[in-house]
Amino acid sequence: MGHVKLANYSLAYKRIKNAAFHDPGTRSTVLFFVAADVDAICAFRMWAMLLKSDCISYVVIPVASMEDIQSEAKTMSSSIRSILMLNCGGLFNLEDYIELSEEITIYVLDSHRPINLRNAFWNNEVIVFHENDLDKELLQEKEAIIFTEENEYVSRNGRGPNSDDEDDEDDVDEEEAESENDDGPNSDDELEERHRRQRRRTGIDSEVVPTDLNRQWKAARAIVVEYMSRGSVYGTSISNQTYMMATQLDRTSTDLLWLAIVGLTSQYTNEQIGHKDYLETVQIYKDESERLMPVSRQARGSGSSLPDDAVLATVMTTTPEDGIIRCAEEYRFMMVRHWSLYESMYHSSYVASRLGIWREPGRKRLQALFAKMGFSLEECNQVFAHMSIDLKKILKDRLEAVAPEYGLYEILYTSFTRSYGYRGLISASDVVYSVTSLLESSPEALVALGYRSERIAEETLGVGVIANIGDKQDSTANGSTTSWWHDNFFKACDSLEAAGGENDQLRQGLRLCMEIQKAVVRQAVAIIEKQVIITLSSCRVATLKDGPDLPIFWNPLTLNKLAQFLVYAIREYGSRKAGHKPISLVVAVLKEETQTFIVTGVQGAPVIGEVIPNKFGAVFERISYNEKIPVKSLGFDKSVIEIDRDDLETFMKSIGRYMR
Amino acid sequence: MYGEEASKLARETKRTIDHFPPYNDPLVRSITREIRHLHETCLENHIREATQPLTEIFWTKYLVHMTPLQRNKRILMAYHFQRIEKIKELAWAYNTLPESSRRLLSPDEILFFSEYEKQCRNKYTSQMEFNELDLGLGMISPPKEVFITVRVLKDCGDIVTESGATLSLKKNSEHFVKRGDVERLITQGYLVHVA
Repeated sequence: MGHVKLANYSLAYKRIKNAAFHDPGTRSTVLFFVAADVDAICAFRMWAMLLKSDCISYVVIPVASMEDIQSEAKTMSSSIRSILMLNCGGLFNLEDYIELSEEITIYVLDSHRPINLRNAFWNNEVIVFHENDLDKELLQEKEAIIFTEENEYVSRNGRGPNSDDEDDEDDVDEEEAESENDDGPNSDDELEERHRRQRRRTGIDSEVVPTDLNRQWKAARAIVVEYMSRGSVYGTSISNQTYMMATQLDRTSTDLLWLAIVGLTSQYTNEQIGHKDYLETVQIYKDESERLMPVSRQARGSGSSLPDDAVLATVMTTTPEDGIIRCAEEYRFMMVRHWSLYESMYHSSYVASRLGIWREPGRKRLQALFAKMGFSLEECNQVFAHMSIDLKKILKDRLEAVAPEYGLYEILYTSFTRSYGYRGLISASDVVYSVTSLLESSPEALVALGYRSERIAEETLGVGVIANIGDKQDSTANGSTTSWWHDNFFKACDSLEAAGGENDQLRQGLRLCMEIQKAVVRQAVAIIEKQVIITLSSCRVATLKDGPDLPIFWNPLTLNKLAQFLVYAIREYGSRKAGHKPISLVVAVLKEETQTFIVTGVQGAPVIGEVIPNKFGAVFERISYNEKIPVKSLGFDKSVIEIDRDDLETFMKSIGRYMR
Repeated sequence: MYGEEASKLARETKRTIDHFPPYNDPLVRSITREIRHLHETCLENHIREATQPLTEIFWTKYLVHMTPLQRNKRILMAYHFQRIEKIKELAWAYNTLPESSRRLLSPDEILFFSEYEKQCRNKYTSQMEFNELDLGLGMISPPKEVFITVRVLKDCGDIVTESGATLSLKKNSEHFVKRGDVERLITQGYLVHVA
């Protein structure tokens, strides 16, 4: 099978279901590997709902890296027939990490692109979900990968012993290609192993004229290498793909739709998909939300006739209508319903970068904006819920009228809000921010944010973790990392439950997010003021070595937030010479304990709302391979890595050379 | 004034009818001290007056000391009865005391808990008096669903389910499994049931 296109998702689900009920006596299980990002968690919750209603038992293991997958796969229980990988593993050749067998089918649902070709076209035990028809879209690549896989041995063996030098050259070439393709830890061993296997399989064909084949093989290889180095982009969010599957199965519900919306919004707010793609999907969801609305409401017609649902948020809560999803215009500043208007605008990358709040004139401009709107600063500094109702009602109109004068043309975008019963109205982006914060807040970050350790224990991590914090000093750093990380994962899961989780985790997340966002902006302003960013010929580099907020940025998610903020700032106020070139930015943060740097590379499109491929993943990989710098990949995106402190200089120097 | 401490305890007992506060050791101690004091005074009086014919004064004194004494005793018993009932509930729900409730119990109560727990669990189940019925499951109301979602708090290794499949319960994973397969582990505190 290899891969499945959107129209056939329901078939894949049925396959999973059949596998689960295959043996009448013993029930088998579905194993989930879930990456720690909002989209993956949303998708997982959707899958869980579907499987629960079918009474299929499942196991969930949150994973942070391919090594996790490898070790978990070794010890998984024998009753597992299907493995689902959510937002993880799509870039890697899974053969290297999980022992494939006839009995187990691996389903890969990953929005990272480019997908690994071997998974999609070569291994029959792996099934890749892809929204497009891969047979058509990647026709050339498909033929190339199949050709290289089938003929790998022939091309090497077919040559006579007298062409040694050529052989060597080819060897290097191939190894390089392999490293692009699958950077498994034991790549070389694996390679040997594979060759041996292939030798057995294709030994008969060795009479084919070698030189011709050789040329073909190289050409095919080049196609594959080119494909892999195109740079990473993101496909449709996997929660969206799951929702489409649910539609095919006729199992959609308001809860599923909401999760899909949150997943989509997370991609949009993290700049993983462009504005156009976003709007396309939003249109679908809008129709769905109207379809799923309870009939009585539709009859009354009050759903659409109420003006300014978003603004009347707090007023609307008196009606106990749980879980109604409405399409509404959302502001491009974060968590406005839970923060004060001023803080919300000050701390969001769009407004902050357009006004340039890191300089005094910029801050003045923000105040002037409020003055023009006729909002007193005193009111704007109130928590939004306590702001006067009259102001809230006119906020949208005023903002639309005044904002363009300050260059804030795209201040509103289409999004969704959901009523959480008596707990108020929450927009999709609020949920995204909250869940992200729940995921990213490590104990160190919390301490840096000024949470006292007891409070961390009680409030944010649950009582069970006290012991872990207590003996953190003597236990290995690694052990405690996994523990807080898993707790965060399940907490984030809970927060997506109806009404924001039992202990109102969603609110906790929002509060955390405010603190983190403040730190991000504080750090970004410091970076800009101190002019830490060095402009190289091909990219910009910012290296952070000290500061009280440093621990917060050890987490890839937060580091990405910082990088995105800087990209926004550079886009508006970077040197004009650059013109409309993509903004490449590398941010490195020192991690004192381990003497390592966390490095991330982002590429910002010159225009807001567009997305361009991020080449840093491939670049980092090549540098690490060619310069022999050991690199630890954090997460499933290759563009976030951890390197040794001493290697940073060489690494940074090489980036310029490898970025073309 | 006699009986004042005890009435405090009585009020506390009434107030905490729905929840489980820590054992009020100081108050209980002061009440027992008072009881001892009352008892001693009674006894002294009795010995002193024993030789003389019993007068009305003696009976009045006796009444003044004896009534608060008896009242104190009743309040203490009520207080402890209420606590014991709650501990019994705990014992049915958990195999071992959760750390959070352990802090609320006095040493004697902890002893009671473990003894009671042993009684109600092991006696019946080991003698198979109820056949396959496991009384120690901590489940008083009938279950709503066949499958439940659990999260693993401590490594439990592999377990074999009723259907014969193996289930490896490793720390920090979430499972959607048959209730019957993991019920025991939930009461033992290895797993936690999530909604």
